[in-house]
Amino acid sequence: MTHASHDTDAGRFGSFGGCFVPEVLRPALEEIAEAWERYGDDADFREELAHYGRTYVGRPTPLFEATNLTEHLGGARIFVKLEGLAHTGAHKINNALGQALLAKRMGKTRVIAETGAGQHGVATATAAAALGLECEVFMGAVDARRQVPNRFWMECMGATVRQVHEGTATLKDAVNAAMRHWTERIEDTHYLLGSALGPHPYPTMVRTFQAVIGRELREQLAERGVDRPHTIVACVGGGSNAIGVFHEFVGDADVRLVGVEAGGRGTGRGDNAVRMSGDGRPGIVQAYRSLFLLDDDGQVLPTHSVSAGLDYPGIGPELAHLGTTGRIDFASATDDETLAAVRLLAQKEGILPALESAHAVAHATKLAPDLTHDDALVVNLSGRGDKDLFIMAEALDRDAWRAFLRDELARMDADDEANA
Amino acid sequence: MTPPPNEQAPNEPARASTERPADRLRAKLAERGATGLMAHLVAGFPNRAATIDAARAIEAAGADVLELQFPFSDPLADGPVVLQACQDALDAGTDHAAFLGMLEEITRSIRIPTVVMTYANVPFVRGFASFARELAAAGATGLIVPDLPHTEPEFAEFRAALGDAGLSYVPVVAPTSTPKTIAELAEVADTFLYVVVRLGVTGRASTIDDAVRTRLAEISAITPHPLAAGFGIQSGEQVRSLAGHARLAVVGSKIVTTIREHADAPGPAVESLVRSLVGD
Ligand SMILES: Cc1ncc(COP(=O)(O)O)c(C=O)c1O
Repeated sequence: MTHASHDTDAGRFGSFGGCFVPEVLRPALEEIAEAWERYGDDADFREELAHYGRTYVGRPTPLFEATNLTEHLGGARIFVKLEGLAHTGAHKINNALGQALLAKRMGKTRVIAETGAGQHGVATATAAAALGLECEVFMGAVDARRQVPNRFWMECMGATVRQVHEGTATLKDAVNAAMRHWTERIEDTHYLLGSALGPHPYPTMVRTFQAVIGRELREQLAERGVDRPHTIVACVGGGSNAIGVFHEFVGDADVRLVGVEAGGRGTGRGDNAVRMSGDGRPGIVQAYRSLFLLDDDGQVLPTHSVSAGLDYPGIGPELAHLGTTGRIDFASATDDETLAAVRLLAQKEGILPALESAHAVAHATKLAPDLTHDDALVVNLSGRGDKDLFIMAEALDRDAWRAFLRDELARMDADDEANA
Repeated sequence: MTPPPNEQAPNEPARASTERPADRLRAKLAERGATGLMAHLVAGFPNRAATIDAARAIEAAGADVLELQFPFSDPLADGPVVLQACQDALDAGTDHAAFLGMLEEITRSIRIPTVVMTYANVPFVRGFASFARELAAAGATGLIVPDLPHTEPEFAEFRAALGDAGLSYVPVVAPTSTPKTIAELAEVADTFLYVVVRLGVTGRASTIDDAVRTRLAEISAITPHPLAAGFGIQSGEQVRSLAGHARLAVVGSKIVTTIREHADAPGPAVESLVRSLVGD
């Protein structure tokens, strides 16, 4: 049995994938599929993207050998791929720029996007500003509240942020709202979807834009004399950073690939976002067939994670397929394990991971001791932690943080009074 | 394509043994008349009693078809009004059993045909064949599923399941549908086509102008099936301006809004609204 992921012409990964959009959107998806077919392999397009990658994004991102962490845990040699050093602080920019360039070639003047953590929204606002596109970002009201800095930066770059109050007011509802809006503005608008999911051709297209992570990783490991990593670990929300780093290695049967989902507060219903290693069921939701957290009637269940970017009930169809065939293993890390991992990586290596990425770190700390120093364990650090200041400070240093916020408010009030 | 066994009982009168649910819908559409109404309800919004009350009012006011939405948590094609109603209905406990119970009671108490509308995941998770059989047994005549395109491999199984249960499949035609697509949709239809007259989702008002009527005429030139025109129809004037171009006008958000405003006993308000829409 081969584990290489074959996309059929209909955008299927095994039985997963497909294009389950309302009829009004079908032509728009066909248009993107055609553009993707035309430009995906086009030398000019790829060179333009690579140019932005080198001169704007900061590619290649470093591969850092975390020797202190390695020593601390004892076992595998740990490497971290620092996607957080990419412009805007996460891997999301790889896809945002790719799709924004494609949108321009398609003659679109506007992009819309959904965002959870705000990282994809920021990446989209950034790409739109750089390429002269209008930008509107849909963000669940709950996420907008817990990711104030990113909302602020998006608006700073000229994007309009629309808060979504429907449903659970998180990422999935932002996706719904963006799709709905798209049905009114297909002519001039490209929907810049942020993860390797949704209707065909997004899963394939987004994976291709993110696959640069894995390609660089192979080269960088070779430069350190590592022929093949033993294990690669990545966090999984929709799955774009994971499939991006895994894709290059899917054909190397001896490389273990591990996706880490949000274990949240625990195993109760609505307390996590564990689909592959938990209760995910086959479904057709948000225009693709995959595994989702559903009740017996097929209604989408609420999810929870300390990280907004992993707080999503579905998973990209390619990962669902490779998980089902056993090529990719899945695990989960709880909120508490994740916060501990943030602190550990910060103290041992001076690296502040995004809460999403810290899930991968947390799991890696469990795997490392069982491996030997001949084994390279790679953690894809999909993003850096700056955006999570408000969440991490509250969780890790609550009293001091509260005092700071109170003082800031008092200072601003005093300023206002003085100026009144 | 055999009807469920209980309809084949040898001692049943001939009509019952041969009539399939879809036939009742087809017969209704074949009745002559001006543009009639397909009135949309979200099952369980705000509760079971109100839904049944509204369904009776819809028939009493002279609508031709009832469209009953099985609420789904992530309804991609619906605007804020229907979306919120779906969420409220789910929060109020409208699960599979509750939906079927309501459908059964409604179809027992009204004579106009009921068409169910829902999203792909609901029948998919239940199993297409079981879902179709359950709907037929509860008295539905057809099904609308906007996010299960005829171009996906799953569609064949879904369509066959409806056929086996004797239910009609009602495809949705969009403003973006090409003549080729319309022809394909007409091919898989068996009673009528649901034509969305403008871009976007349900809820916002549409203008029924010459462009809309021309579009309907173009579609009618491709398919012999009658058409239902919907999305943004909110007044009797709009309904009447479809005369000769669509057999049915679909009204959804306006009815849902009326129910929200008269949540305790929506019957009278819904009846007077529907009368104003049908009024000729
Ligand atoms: C830093 C970071 N990592 C991971 C994710 C999860 O997305 P994906 O699974 O598509 O990589 C997000 C999403 O916002 C993110 O911001």
